[in-house]
Amino acid sequence: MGCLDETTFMALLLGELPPERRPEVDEHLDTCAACRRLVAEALRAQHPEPESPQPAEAPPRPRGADATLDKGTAVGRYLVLEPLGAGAMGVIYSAYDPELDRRVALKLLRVSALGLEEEKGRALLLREAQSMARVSHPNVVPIYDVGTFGDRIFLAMERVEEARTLRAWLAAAPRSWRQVLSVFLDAGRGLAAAHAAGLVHGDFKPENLLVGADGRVRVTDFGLARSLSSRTKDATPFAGGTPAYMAPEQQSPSVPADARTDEFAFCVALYEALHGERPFSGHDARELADEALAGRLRPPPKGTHVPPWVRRVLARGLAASPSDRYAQMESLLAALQQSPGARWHRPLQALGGVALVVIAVGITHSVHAWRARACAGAAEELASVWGPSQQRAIEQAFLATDKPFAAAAWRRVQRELDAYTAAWVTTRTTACEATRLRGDQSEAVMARRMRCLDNRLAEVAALTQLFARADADMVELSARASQELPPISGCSDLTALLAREPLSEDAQARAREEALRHKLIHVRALKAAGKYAQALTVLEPVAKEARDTGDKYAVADALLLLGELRAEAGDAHGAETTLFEALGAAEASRNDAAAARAWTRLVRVTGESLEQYALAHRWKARAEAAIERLGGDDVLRAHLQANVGLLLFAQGQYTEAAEQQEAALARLERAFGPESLEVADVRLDLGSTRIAQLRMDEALQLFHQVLATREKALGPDHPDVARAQLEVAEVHWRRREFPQTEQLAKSALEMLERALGPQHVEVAFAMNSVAAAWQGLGRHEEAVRMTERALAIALKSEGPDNSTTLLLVNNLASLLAQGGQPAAALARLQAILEPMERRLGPHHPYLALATRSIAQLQLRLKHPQEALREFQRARSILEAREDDPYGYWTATMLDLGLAYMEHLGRAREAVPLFELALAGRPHSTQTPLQRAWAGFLLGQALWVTDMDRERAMRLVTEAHAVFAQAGSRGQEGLKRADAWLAKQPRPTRVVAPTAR
Amino acid sequence: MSPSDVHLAQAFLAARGGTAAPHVLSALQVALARAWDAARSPWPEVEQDALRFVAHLARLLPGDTAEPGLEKLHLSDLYLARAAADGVPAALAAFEKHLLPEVGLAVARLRLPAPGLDEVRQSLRQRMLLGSADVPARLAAYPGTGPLGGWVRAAALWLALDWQRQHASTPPPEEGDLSMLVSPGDDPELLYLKTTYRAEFGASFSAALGALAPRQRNFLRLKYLDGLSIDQLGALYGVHRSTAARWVVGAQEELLARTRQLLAERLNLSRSQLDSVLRLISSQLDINLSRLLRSRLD
Repeated sequence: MGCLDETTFMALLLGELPPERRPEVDEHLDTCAACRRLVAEALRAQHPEPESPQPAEAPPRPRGADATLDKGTAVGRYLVLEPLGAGAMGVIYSAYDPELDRRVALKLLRVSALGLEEEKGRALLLREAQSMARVSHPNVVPIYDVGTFGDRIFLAMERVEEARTLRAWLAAAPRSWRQVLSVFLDAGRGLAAAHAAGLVHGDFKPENLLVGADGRVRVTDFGLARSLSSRTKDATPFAGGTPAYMAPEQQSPSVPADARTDEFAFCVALYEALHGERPFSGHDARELADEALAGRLRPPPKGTHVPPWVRRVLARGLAASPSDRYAQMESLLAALQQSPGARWHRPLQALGGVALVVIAVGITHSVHAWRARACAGAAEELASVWGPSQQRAIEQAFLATDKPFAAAAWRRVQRELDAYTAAWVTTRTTACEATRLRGDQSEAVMARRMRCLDNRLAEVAALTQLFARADADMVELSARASQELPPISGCSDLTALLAREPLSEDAQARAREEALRHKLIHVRALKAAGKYAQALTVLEPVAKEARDTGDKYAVADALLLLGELRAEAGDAHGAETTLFEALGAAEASRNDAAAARAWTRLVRVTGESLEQYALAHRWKARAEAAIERLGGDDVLRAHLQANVGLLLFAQGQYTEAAEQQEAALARLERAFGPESLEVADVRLDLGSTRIAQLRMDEALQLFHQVLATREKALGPDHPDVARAQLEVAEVHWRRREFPQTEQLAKSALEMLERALGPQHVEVAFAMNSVAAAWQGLGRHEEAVRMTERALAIALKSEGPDNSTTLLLVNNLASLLAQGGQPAAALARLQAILEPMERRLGPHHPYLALATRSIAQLQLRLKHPQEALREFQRARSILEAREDDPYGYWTATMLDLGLAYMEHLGRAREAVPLFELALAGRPHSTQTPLQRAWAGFLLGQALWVTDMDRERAMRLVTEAHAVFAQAGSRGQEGLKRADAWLAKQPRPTRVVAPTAR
Repeated sequence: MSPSDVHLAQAFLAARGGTAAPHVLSALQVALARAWDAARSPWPEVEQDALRFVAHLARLLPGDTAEPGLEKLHLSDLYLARAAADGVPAALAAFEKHLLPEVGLAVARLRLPAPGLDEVRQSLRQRMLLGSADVPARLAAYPGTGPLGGWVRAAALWLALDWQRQHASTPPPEEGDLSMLVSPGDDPELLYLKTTYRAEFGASFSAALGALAPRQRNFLRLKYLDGLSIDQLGALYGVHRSTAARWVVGAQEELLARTRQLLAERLNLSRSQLDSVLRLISSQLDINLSRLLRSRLD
């Protein structure tokens, strides 16, 4: 048939084409694009898509997650202008940065390209990209910013004007081998700079080399291909990388790419650029790899001008085994510059890379280089703060403390500060170049950023000065102190910078503010180093003076710091008052950041320290609102959740606490990585909650993670390691694994005494754990003495009216009771019951625990009626809750039943109690052993009362089996069950009647 | 109406040139009287001759007199179309008021230049309502099987596209925007295919495409090249969106399966090797589809 006529067209559009005509129309549309387009266009007009109101205008394109973004779409703070290209990992756009008023290249990466779970993949890419952003080199495309956009990651990079790939550059004009070589030398320097920062490219090839309008070559797409290949679950030899440029070792997915893999790719690319063909022949990855492994380099093409010495250098770079190549890029680059037969080259080379580039790409580059030097001062400035002499002084001061963990601490500090200062140099250079070199940023904006960066460097200086005079405490906290430096990225966030304190017009006021800021920096460093008393001495007069000058914005910062210091120093009441003062100033001056931090901190001070739970929950709501107003700082949000978790834990609301802690963990893992100290801290909190929920395996796993992280980061002798050990010890104690408990607790005790001094409250914690282990091991006297020592420390450092003290009293009482002093124990317990309820609230499990202890003592003192009353009280405390924390409810029910059955001879009344205990509560987390006890006791009661002897025998037999399998923990039960069974008539005589 | 009054039925039969038994006649009379009431009730101000309208219905319904199928027709739409085609002023006014705005909207979506839009509106009125000496008003041909609005819209779109075809100096470039999606230089996977398996893959893909049914190819092109949605595809073929979606997916799967098979034969690759190649390709599927579909036949 011919082209569509009106009738056919209308029938098609109205869906009324008779079936018999369909085939001919389909055949026509298959061959006539014009008619097909006509139909498509009419369909779009006739049935417009609801989501695209102007379908005729929008370019037709495949829909889906990777549909191109429309002009004007906001990605982070950037506005999309137009697409520039697309690749396997995503689409690149030209975009505009309104804050710095410049164009950027925006690369949107598909998380799905990683083949990982989405959340995990995103976090991974984000971290990779952040480390890429640390590399600063003229021959590397700088990454300005990294963030997420929906389920994608974006990278904001320098927009290289009129960029061509190296392949296009090579094709555009004939290039001499010298020109090619010098461009590659530049690219190689960029690669070497990345290697120095610990980054491997993983996919070096001509398409990842951009030559800009300025003639400068830049390497781009660092690390992305590598994370693609190494993280793909079923990594195949084809995944990631580009076969023609891949080193043979990349064929094996288990071998991580390293600098020498890049060296190989570099040499393939250079060889190809020089000879017009690749060094190895082969049609696929396997063939190529075989050729490379056999070392079968192609013979040089006829008539090549490339000198043999260049080929020799390349041959070594292309060696099959990484160990046969040059050890690093620098060596390869040096070899490529040393023409053995051409001595006249020498004077030229003395000028360095710049001169070579001038030959290659003309005068624009030299002008560029001259301008670039105007921004090159960052490294020198840094040298006065974190140069070799400062580093030596710090190392010596650390080692001089003679602390076992000092060497590890120094290594950690060095690594942290190296990374921090490297980022500082990059940011500072970029900030300068944006104005001075590229002119796409105003002087005023640069001034703001520079000022921010100056302050950051001042923080580093303050810290390093303190470190140079470090004592033991400071060494202990040094790793955390260097981690607490405010992030450099804050100085690129222009909204935050502009939202910051308004600069005073008055020069005198400005000088005053500047002086205050420097004092605060000094105090922050002291605080980070754990010098609370000293920090307070410095800050208190400063804060008082600032209060008088009336600049509320700065006052809020000062008071916030003062409040935090008081909290750290243990003055919770003082901290609370000061934080509220800080809030007053912050809200008056719209210092949102200070307000958000103050509320977040108050949750912990008021809640965990002052134990005013209801108030703390109100502060939580305020903190959430303040963080929201701030624009939703994820790390601050995580801190708040962790604080709320502690608050809920202190209240005994474990389910809710765990929820908060899990959420905080997820956020922190995203922000800092799963092996960071921040994450370890919250894992510790969550582990404690898991213990309270009797989820011991989870707790143990969390604590072992913490222990590993801390040992690795802080060294094995660090007090934080001891703290983690105590947590592990607790899990073992709860599992009645006393020898392990004793070993861990004693080791932790020694470490803490050495690190914190013998009177520190944390030493009392460790003593309590040791005592608990001894009690389990039957070493009664020693356990009592150890607990008394711990109590003395707690009384002195925490006072009598405090949870730690109360718990120690409770423990001491139960030890005394076991040691045959029930009256003394009872008196101790009764004295703490009332303050405990006041402190912890009427439903706290500890209150039930103490009440139950009292009841048990009453029983021993032959006061069964009082005992019943106390047991019932404990039971009602626990039944007001939905969960069964620590399994206390089951234990209390068994105690209560026992009191009826054994002490009052009222077994009939014990039966329903044991039944309840055996059935458990909906949220109860009974152990099998507890269930066995419940069954055993119920069996006894059913037998004694003659209510159901058959079931009784069955229950006891079942319990007996559980006891027998529980090892040492089942011994007590086994003994009793054996004894009971021995007293009863033979089971066959009972079973026989029903069997017949 | 008296039982012996069968004038509507008689007019209906007369228009067909047929006769019927008396009991059929009276049943037909009842059905036609009900249809007449239903047809005119939305347009009380529009008057036309009942016998003439019934005769019109008879011409539209060629089937069995006993089961004329009146309920299949959009009766009130037919009423208005017939009266407007006859030039009844109230019908013309109602048509202008109720139908033309919607039609104007559909045509406007084609983004014609202003003069083109005027011209299309003008000729639409002319052809729909007036006709010429030898061609009757187009509305008289409205079959009543679908809503009048859709029918008039389709006719208007034909006019508009026809105008566009006549006035466009060159045909619109084919999907110039897609080219930016395919920039192999930035894409290690695509480049990999291009440099190693390009010819083989391209040939296999083309062969696989050629082996599809014409309708399957149309589906894929309309979706990937012309950017139609599943709903629009469903409307074109008069099927539910889920059926249309199944067709697209089916065509796509068949295409890939065949490509896989052909590529394996061509390259003599082992199964696992082929899988890893195809894994690379699949991430590019939409793009490859567009490009290869276009390059083969357009």
